[in-house]
Amino acid sequence: MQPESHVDLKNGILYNRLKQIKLDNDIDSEWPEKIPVWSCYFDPKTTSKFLNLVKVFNDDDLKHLKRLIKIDDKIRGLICPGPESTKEEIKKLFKDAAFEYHDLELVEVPAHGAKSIETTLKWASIWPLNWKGNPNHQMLNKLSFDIEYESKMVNKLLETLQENTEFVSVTIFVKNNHIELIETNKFEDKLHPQDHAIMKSIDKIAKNELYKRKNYPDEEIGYLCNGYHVYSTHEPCVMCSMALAHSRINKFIYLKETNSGGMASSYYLGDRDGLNWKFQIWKWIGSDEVERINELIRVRQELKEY
Amino acid sequence: MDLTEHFKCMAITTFIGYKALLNNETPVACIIKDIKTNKIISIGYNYTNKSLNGTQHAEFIALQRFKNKNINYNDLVLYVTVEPCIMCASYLRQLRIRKVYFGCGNDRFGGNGTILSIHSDNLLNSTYQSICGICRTEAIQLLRNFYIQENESAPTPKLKKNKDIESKLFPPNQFTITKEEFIYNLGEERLRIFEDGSLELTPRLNEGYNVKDFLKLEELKRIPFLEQELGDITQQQIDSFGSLFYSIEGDGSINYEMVVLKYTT
Ligand SMILES: [Zn+2]
Ligand SMILES: [Zn+2]
Repeated sequence: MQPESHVDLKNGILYNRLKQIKLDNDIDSEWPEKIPVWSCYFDPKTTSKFLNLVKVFNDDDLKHLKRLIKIDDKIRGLICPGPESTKEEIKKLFKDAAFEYHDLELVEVPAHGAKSIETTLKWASIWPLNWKGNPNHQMLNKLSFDIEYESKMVNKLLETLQENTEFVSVTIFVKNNHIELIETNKFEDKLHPQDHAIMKSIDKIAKNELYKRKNYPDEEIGYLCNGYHVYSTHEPCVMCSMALAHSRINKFIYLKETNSGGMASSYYLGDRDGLNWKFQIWKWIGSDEVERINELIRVRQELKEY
Repeated sequence: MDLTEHFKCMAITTFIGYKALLNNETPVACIIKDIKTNKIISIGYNYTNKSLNGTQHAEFIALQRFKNKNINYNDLVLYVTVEPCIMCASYLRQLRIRKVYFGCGNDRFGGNGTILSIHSDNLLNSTYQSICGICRTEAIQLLRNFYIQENESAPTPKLKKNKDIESKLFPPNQFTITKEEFIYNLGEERLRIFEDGSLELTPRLNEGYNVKDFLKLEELKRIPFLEQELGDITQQQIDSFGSLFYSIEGDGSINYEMVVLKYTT
């Protein structure tokens, strides 16, 4: 696969300025987790009938697997994930369609695809897998960023921070390339968690949506913070990171890590499977902006100590 | 160790979850008790649908009432039907809540031990204890009633997934606390329940209960914010609520023989 010129696949860096923040690296485990899937054997001549019949099942969890394998003069096919249907339901489906098969049974197969061709081949001893390239590399190559716009937003964060020496952090919520909100936090001894810039922003967006639905019912309705890109001087705390996931944002870009942060510093919230929602997380590593924020933070720390 | 007081608090909390269900919200609820006065001073319930704000979980509703008040969170104990999610777990920790009791674990988002242990990790200084298993089956049953309702209204283009929502069996009772925490908070005499996996806690050892036993109309009417925010409470509502749950036997087993009703709108 030819990488695009602005993509550093190995380090997950785009345009030398955005570093991908990701929970897992590109190394596969020795063996995969497995899931039970219903399978059966049938005559190769009835393959298209089989494929037609199993269309009623949701195949989202099977896309990484070869659906059919040839064993001697038979085909062994995957029907559906184990929990999706009972043996009786499948029997009935096949009987109603007069489809001939034998050995309807659960088979344990890899729960997910591999990240390298080597592992794909190794795991094929459990069940053959599809290989379409490293999924993350494919994703990185396909991404299209308006890097000038991203840069503008990051600089907007810095300009806002610079406006007032009392500001310690800034967050910007953007939708459709339009700045919807800029929130700041000042240094306070006892900042209430619900006054964190991200929580304030989420609350305002919800109130605005309520107002809009009431007064302008014909306008397109929004769903939580879906469609939003969020820019922040700092990595958010665990509460705010999870609040962004609950709010269904699509992209988060920050400059500085924090000790109690919920992303790169601890749990990679936003990039964890199983939490119902994932969003892209990027750290801005462009040197001009990094130097500038370090300087702004230094000034604030000096003032605080003073 | 007599756990009646905890069960009473959780029964009230579960009833608030039922009121949330009647208001078309996910039936997850909580109460805040002040240990100095032993009084319930706030309640919360999922409010994400009405507010259009995905962060308005029960814990936020209950505690944001004190936002600009001078309050010592270290005097406050939270009872919540479902384990706090990762976000709420962090919120409670930042506020420095004293202690949490919850009913059932949160398999998807649990932040007090099921998925992550936000209440006790080393990211922040103060930690809090979070004790599970009080009215566990009732919390699950209430959620099931919500999902049954959702499923029946949702279009199903493909064969219905067997998500086990309507089957009556409850998942095994696995405690997210250590043996030492169990003994200290729930009593050494109940260790069998900690180890067995198929038994439930009861208020008093060798005595069964039904969650409705703890509810009294006059008492519920005095719970702050409840009637104002979730509507009047009637004896009939308490009875319908009671009909949704299995009793727990004296040995901690669930009485599946009992006929329980499904909530319908
Ligand atoms: Zn925060
Ligand atoms: Zn929560």
